Amino acid sequence: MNDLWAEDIVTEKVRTPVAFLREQASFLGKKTQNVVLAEVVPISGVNFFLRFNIKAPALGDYSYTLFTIIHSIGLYPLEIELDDDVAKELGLEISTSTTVKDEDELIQLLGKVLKAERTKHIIRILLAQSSE
Amino acid sequence: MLKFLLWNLNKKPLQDSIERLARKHNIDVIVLLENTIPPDVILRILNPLGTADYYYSRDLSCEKVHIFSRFIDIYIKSIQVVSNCCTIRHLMLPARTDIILTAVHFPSKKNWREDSQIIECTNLSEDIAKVERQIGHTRTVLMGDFNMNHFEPGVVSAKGLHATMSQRIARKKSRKVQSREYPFFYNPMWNLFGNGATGPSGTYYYNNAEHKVFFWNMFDQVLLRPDLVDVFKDENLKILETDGRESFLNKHGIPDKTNFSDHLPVLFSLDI
Repeated sequence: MNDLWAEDIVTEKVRTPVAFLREQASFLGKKTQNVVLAEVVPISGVNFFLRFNIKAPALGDYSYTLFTIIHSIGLYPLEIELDDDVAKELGLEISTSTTVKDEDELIQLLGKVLKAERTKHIIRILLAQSSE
Repeated sequence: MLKFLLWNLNKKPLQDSIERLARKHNIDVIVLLENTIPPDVILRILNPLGTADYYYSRDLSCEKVHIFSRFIDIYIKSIQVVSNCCTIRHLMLPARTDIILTAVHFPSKKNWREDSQIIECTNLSEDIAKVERQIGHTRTVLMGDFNMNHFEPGVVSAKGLHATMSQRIARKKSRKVQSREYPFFYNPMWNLFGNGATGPSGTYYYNNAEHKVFFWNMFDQVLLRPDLVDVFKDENLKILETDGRESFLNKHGIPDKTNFSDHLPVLFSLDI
């Protein structure tokens, strides 16, 4: 029997949203000396429904959800629901998910979210609280 | 090879020494007892700006043991609520054999009589056995300040921690007393006690004008289940007397409790 599967199934690498988000999460620890961390938590153990949290281990692992992402097996388009204050700051509708059509769009949006005043404010507060 | 550091800080601000020890010995897991240094201060000194080598791994149920490690929470998970003086973690690192890591700080002899210490050891022994059943193996390392010497009943007795000085005996895994089976720990601290050791004769020094006094005590101990004996080397277990720059001992050769802790740190490694 011939092998009917495509030859390039495993040679062509795909970057998933979870891998991209985890990479971004790891950068925060380097900026805060691991006092405040970011983490990507799959909800119900599924990598298609993700929560992006900012957390402070010294505050009893207090964590704040910055956004959640839902995607299907096709990865894109995906749905991202931002923290209300971040959404407001970026001029997006609150309590509603925003559709992201591809990775480039995700990188663009995430750049705005991670640099948002609200995000910086949350991190600064957690840093200050961790020192008290 | 995973390297562990255990140190009772006696509430001293010894973050500089912790940092020097971590770098010098390339420590993976730092277990601190009687630590009053805020976690963020330790993180900032362990992680120079732009780096994120060490994480604070908090166990909400245990305030007396603080763990800093190179691993994020999911790799060093707290297993269950045991008591305020004990934390039990499941250390599951990618591509490495998982182990159960238990760290304790038992109450001081000033506050607890021997009977209470023995009972606490039996409780701890039962907690560990329960977790081992839950996880499904007995690759357990137990470390801490027991406030007991390695030869005292709580540490040695079958119903207590059942820690023997002999690897050969420990490898038998368990023994029966009155038809009941009791698992062993191997206690390598015996090798470091007294003048035969190359370093200090114990981890804690106490002298008083009374008839019975040991001077050097081995309150800080590392115990291993037989299943970990093969990945442990006695020569890699050390009582440290310096952080590489400063000595933890005074001119009399005993812990300099004015400038450092009254306990000496213990270093060991596991080849997992």
